Amino acid sequence: MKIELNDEIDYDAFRSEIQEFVSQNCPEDIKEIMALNRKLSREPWHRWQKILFDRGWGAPNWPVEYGGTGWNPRQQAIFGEVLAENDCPAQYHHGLRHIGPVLIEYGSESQKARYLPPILDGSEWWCQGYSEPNAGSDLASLKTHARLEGDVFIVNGQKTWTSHAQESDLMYTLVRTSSEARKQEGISLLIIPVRAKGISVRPIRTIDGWHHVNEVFLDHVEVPVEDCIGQIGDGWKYGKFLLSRERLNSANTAPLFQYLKRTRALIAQRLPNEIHRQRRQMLEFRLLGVEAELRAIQELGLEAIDAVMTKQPIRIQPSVLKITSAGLFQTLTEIGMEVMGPEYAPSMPIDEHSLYDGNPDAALWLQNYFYSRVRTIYGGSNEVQKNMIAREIFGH
Amino acid sequence: MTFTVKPLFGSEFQESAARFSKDADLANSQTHLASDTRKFREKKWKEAIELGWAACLITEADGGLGGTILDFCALLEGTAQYALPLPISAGFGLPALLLSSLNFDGKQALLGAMADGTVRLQPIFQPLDPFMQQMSHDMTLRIETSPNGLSLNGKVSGLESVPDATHYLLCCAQADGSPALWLLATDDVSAAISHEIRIDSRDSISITFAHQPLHHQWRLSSGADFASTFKGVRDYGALFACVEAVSSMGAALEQTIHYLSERKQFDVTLSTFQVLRHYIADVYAKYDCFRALVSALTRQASVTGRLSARDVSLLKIYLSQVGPKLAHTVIQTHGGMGMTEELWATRLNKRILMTNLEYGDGQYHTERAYTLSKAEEQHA
Repeated sequence: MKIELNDEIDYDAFRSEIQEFVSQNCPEDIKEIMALNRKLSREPWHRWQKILFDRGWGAPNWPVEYGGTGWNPRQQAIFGEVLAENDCPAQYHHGLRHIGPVLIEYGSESQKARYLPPILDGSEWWCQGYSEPNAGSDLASLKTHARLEGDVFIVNGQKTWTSHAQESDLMYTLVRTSSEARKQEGISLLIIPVRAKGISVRPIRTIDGWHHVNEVFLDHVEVPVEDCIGQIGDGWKYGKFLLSRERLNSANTAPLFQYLKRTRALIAQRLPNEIHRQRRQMLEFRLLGVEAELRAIQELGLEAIDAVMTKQPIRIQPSVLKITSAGLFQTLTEIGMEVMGPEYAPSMPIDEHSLYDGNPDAALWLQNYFYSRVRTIYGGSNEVQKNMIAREIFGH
Repeated sequence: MTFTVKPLFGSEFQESAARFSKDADLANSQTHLASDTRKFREKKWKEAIELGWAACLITEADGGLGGTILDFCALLEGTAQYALPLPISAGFGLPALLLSSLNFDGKQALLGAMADGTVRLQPIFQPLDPFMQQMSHDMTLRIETSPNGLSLNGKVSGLESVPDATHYLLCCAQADGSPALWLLATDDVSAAISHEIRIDSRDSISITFAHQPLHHQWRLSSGADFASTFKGVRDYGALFACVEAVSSMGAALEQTIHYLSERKQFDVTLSTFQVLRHYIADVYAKYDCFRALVSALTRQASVTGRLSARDVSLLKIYLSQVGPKLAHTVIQTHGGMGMTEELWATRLNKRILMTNLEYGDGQYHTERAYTLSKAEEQHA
């Protein structure tokens, strides 16, 4: 249900302002990476963040007193939409949207002073040390432990699926500091430099051929006690707070609309002749089915944003949006694969250092097809989301 | 607390329609003979007219209540919660929208008579309905020219039956192929009528006309303006079907969740089985998305007075993905009970499945959206 808000913000003018700036200031080489669905690495991402920071838009989701824009959720949503519509990258999330809000809410003054400014200008990158070999969806079973010796924690253990660890400076890390109570208790949230003594990072080769994730081994890593965020033993609470900040991410359907447009263009480009007519039409019919559901989640996303704006509780919508948008991304990449066909199956780069010699377009569609499989796994798998929906609708 | 449906277009219309439909559902379950059922429905139809439902979409100036599209959708929402087997959209909503949008002599008197129930229209839209033209195997209705004038011949079937109708509201191509709208008093024409019951328990009729004279004064409208208005009204038919669908889906989900929370097997309630919880979570997600789209398009139509044909097609495509999936899941999760007629959810399910077929199914709307997209591309 649309809510008419009694605020005085001219959202159309706001949208135009964003549109004008990003269309004129996002570098062409970065737009091309996005338009081709290539993997974005730290250098161009940082360059883009710096441009936004210089404009005063470094942190759309932070309060003004910490250098943010102070925008409301609807403005943040418009900003995200316009970026996607213009093939500009969304901002790097681990600092701005994950640990930044936790530091603002629970961090000490010295932690805020030390860590927030480099997140804003993009000069320092964070990664997330949550999952472990036996603690993924069941995160509370994590075993990496930190023993307090004087005013230093000694951390030992292993993290896995750590995205961007290979190009990050800092890792916000959940560790077990006590094993005496229930497993959600006795967990603490530490800030650990990725290049600290005792840390080693090993890449995990994933099915898409890109290097996203890593194993991170912690062997007697020393972490000063002042780098523990909030209270020792309250890390689970901060971790949940962090995830709650991400709940409306899937309400931005603009990237999906862009992907739909690219898939339509791919069909037109690859299947242009009379001999393709039937196949082309069947695929376009399937895309209309995708578009129908996409229109639906677009409206659901707007409802969720309105609910947040009017302080109404949102419980189920984020899970519904996550499940549905993940499924749509996967379907689009599946259709992309069908368009490419068997001729292009050998175009996949064999490792992360391979160049796109041969057929770069084909390679990117293949890689995105494989990469999209993770969308129903990361950020709370489909099964976890369904558990959350079921808990709400069954009341237990 | 378990899931309970929040009304989409909450208003007094929705509440009173839900109460009415609940009572009707209970009383209907106690009638067993087809003849009793027909009498019962005629009685409920009269009551609905007395409640002002026929007048909802007719302006106050024309003798109606001056309700909005949202009011009418609230009414449909209430009736669909109990799968009321009466043609509220076809009998009240669409004729009011169609006639209000056209100019013809005697318009105000006709609308006033519809509002107070002295005129009860049986729409015959199928001859101009492209979906029914594709799907119907025995639609032969046509207007012919003879030395004695115009005559109506042939058969049309699968019409939602309006109880105790006083007039036919006929949309049909004329001998020259141009579309036209006719108003025929049932007392003035001779027609063979056969009745059937649809899967959603609504009455359906087939009508056969044989050399029925058509007088020019019975023609209300024709030509391009009428054709365009008819297309728009047909799209409202599709939207109204989706409003009913989403309401019936919500009620079916609510009832299923209640059943799974009460019924025990192996000494525990069914709602503790993860596989069942995930089935329901899956269809809840689809339902919630469909609900949001229905709500948005209805409100947009209410505010702007416009309904995009392509949006309507996308909505119906989505209904074809969501409706049958939800209905099948409701049957499956009820187990054997899901196969029984006595279950309230069964009646809701059948209505959901029928809405998927009304005003074009998913395949039809996929083809239509495709054609519209290509036309837009060429235009651009």
